Amino acid sequence: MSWRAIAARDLKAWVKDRRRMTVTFTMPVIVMIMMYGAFYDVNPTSVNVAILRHDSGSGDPIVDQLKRDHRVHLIHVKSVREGRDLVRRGSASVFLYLPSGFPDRKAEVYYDPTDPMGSRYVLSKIQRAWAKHVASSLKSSMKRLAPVLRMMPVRPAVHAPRFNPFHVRTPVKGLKYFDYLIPGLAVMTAAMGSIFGLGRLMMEEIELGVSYALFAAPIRARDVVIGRFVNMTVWGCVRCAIIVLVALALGAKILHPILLFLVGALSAATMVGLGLLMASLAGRSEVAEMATGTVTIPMMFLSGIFMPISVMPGWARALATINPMYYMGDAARKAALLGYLDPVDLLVLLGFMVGFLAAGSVLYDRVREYL
Amino acid sequence: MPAVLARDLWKEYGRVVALRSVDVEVDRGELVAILGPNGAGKSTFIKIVCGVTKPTRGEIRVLGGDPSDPDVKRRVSIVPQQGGLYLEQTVRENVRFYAKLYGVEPDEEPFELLEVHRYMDRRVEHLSGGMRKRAAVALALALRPEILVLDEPTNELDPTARQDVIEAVREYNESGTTVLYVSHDVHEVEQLEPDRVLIFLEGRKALDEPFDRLMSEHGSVLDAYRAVAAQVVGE
Repeated sequence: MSWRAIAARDLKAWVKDRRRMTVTFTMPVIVMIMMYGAFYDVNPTSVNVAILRHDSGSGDPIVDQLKRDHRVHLIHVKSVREGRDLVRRGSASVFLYLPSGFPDRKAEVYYDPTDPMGSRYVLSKIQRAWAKHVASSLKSSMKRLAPVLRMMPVRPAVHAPRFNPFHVRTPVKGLKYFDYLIPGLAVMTAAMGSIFGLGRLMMEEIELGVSYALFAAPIRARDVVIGRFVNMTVWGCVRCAIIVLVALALGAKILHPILLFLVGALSAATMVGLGLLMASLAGRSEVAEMATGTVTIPMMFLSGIFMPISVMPGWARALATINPMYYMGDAARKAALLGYLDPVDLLVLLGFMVGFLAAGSVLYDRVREYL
Repeated sequence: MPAVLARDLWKEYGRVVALRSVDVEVDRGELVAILGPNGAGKSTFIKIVCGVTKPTRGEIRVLGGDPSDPDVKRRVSIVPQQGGLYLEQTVRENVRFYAKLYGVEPDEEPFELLEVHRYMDRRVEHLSGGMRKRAAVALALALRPEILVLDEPTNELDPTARQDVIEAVREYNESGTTVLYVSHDVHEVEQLEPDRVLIFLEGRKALDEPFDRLMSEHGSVLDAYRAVAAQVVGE
């Protein structure tokens, strides 16, 4: 049971190291507060919209809607060129030109593609305002036609469809982007420290001669791996628990925190295996850090943790199927928000964990040759 | 039964041959200095003796057993070049940890002998290079080994500390511990006055002579080293 001695040493060393403990406990809190401040609601707080009107008032419903919106700041321009220039220079997210003869002549909506959130918000407001206007026009036309229809000997079968025939329901109401982010953040925080922490620890041990002493000691290499695995997983769980508690304190909707914590623990364990694999492959601390960063950053952005993979192109969705972080995020979201432990996600994560650990252990044992 | 028995030992790392047909026999209680330049194969040889790595070919027996066997490893302790201590822990915590791995009650004496007892509760990261080396040597001795392997233990040490380490090693050797002392410093080997000197060059054991005979034939370890090196270059 030498792995217990290794795990106990690592745990004690961690607990006694004030700097490490400070980082362990404060970083998740800082991250959460920053995320809360920055991403509580992803609707833009302020969007500049340049506007040029040559219409005779038919665009009023749109302009009134934009004027009423406290997030929208209207800038009146004198020419189409001025409006487009404002968008090109980034001074406005959208330029709206309502020509004379609108709506028979189409309006121009010129938007800034580098501000997808802002421009999409304004576009949706414009389209919604116009749809509302069309719907109410139809309604009043129908009203005006009603007496005429009543006078007809044979009434035509005119049936106006409901303007909104949908009753929208969801298992969890009122989710903000922050709530969407939390499950992913919890598992990510649990996992990232494990990846980088284990690599750094192993490299330090090689440089200090500790690895040499451990390979010369009467223990098996796998005991070292198991001991490290246990310790790193425990700290991953601690980080995950902190994120969950702080998120709850900030009012995030986590309907099933215990399930989320369980997924966090599995995620941390999976990524410890990846960290072991990367560190054993790299052999030197700076290479290990670079390689781990190179692998984990694309994994993170293609995981669906920050943006759902449904908005990604086909190749990115295909990559997600071989990305353990995708399964971490997916399992975490389903567990935290829907109370459902997806067996596919869990089995895939278990598979990754076993695969990474097995490959990492074999490669770690090869480190002895290069000491 | 010798403490270390190596027959036709080879170690290859891909195309690089680190050891070429090395035969070494070390009796129990002997103090053997292993000398050679960097890359001569001396560190590879002791890695095999300590069970850290296996030879590509040849036979190696340590205390009559396979050096990678945990029961054999328990009876051998090593001072790696870099010390092998955890920086964020105190010396005492390091000792407890390794003692647990070796399953022994640590011997307190080496810490007093090497004056490490004064900073047992200080973190290794707060110690000077010399203090760390002393602590590493004391720790290896505290594990009550039958064979003590030291890989360039006096690097970074001032002359006084170097003398202290050498005296401690000699004292333990006199009480029966077999010592393999790796160095690339000829003066250190003279200071050590080992029973035997092995010189490794280009992966081969180029010389294996009792220290006294070597000194009487060549006058100094440096001259012996030069003679052997010239012979190897000539070949």
